[in-house]
Amino acid sequence: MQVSRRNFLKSLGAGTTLLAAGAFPFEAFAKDHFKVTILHTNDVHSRIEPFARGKYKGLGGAARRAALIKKIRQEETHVLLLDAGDIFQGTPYFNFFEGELDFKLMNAMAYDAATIGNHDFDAGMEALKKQAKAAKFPLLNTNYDFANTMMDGFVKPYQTFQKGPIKVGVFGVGVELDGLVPANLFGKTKYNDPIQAAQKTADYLKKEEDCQLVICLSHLGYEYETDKVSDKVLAAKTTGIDLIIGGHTHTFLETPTTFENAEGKPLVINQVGWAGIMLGRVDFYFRKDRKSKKAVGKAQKVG
Amino acid sequence: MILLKKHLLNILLLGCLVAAGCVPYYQIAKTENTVYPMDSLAVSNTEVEALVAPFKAQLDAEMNKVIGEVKQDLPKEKPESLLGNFVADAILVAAKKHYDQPIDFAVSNYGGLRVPNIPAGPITTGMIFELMPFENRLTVVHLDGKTTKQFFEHMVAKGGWPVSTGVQVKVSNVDSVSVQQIMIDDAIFNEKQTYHILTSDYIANGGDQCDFLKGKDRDDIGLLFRDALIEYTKMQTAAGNSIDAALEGRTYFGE
Repeated sequence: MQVSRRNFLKSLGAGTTLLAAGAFPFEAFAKDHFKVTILHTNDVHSRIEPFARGKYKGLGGAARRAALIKKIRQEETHVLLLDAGDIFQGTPYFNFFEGELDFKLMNAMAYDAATIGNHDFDAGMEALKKQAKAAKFPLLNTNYDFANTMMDGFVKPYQTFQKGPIKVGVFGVGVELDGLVPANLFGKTKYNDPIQAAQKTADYLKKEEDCQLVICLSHLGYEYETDKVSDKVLAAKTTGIDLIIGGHTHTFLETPTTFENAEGKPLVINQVGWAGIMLGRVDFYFRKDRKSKKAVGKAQKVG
Repeated sequence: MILLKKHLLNILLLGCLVAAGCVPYYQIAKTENTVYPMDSLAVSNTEVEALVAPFKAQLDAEMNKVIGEVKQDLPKEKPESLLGNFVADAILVAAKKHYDQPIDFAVSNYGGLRVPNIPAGPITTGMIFELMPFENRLTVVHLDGKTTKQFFEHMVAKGGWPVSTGVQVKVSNVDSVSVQQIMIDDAIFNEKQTYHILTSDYIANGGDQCDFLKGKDRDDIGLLFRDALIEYTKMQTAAGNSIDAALEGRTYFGE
């Protein structure tokens, strides 16, 4: 039986509202406006092909994702394709090829940046470094210190992208590795407080790099019952981040996920489950505002 | 393609931070979310399919190799299951081929086994990969009796984890989380004894909330959990046996 997409989403726990594409009177003031389209995945876990069996049978697959991304790139001028980590682990493709195919496919889809998840250490840092070298996009993280590891120089704290008049800053934060990843796999990678690191980087991107849009690729996880740092905690305790693309908890977000940051300004958190079952999209519409001014002040250098 | 408009967000107006000297500047006016399900209605990119093809061919040849025969369905259940018993016994037998010191019993965490069932019939390398996709390695942790007891209490609190044959944990049928009695190879558990327990490095590193195991004395065997399962299965096949398991009351509820 054919399952409608709406029911499909409901079955994933993503209670959605269907709105006509033209619901917003965008045409009326399109002249002064500018659009940047963010496409995103998280926790793809080497799911190269659609699921062969189980709860998600027939869903996912890199070839479908690639086709959709290509189509959106034809429709939109300013697109960024981002991943929030845990690219590796979950199918024999990873066990046999240690991430080679995953990165080949991400290169083919022209990913713009990705962050590092805990499972991306699973084949060891040698394998991760090999793929970081092969990647045509940067790996971003601002709270892991790789200085005493072989990954030193292969991970950047942030990357900026010029999309027409809009400068976009993207950075990454990662989860504590101790207890989650075998110690021999992450070696001397030092975990620093993600909130402090994120704040420092967001400040730098807004104040020194003059970014109008700051995106955090987070592999911290959406939320926890404990006070463990999560995307929700990160959102509430920082300023300067406009969008958090989350991962790690494999959360299919069901409601509009707008939160207030530490100074009461809105930010969006998005996470699209796992295994490439979905592709997420957030469109930012920018308005040229004579009454506004760029963020001011000095920020400490990052990286 | 039909777009699912997940949400239309409010209009954000950021005020002028500095009273004087404002210049035209782009601000976020609106955001819009969309989620695209990657289902059968989505078309495929043939270039990507072509990129995957040689990897898939190589992989399929390996994964489809039949390495044994499973006698009956082995489902994964709590507090004890045929799948869990097969796994715990298999890693113990295989580990003993690689480690010559005594091991008292084996434990796997329940969540680490990634399939709900292994069906009766031929078992392939691929099925073992699905059962244990992680690169976890086997390790022997040497625990004092007190920590061993804590480990059992943790397993029971989690609903019962796979343990190897010879272990019998009696659980209270009143609160279903407290351990009433532990037998190991017909001997009553002794809190003054040191136990040598085979498990994964993931658990020994404190994974699945086993923080109490962090930093304990241990010997890493260097054998992948998955390779131990493959080795055991091939061993059984070579000996002319099929893969089977039985429920033995390894974790059970008391009177």
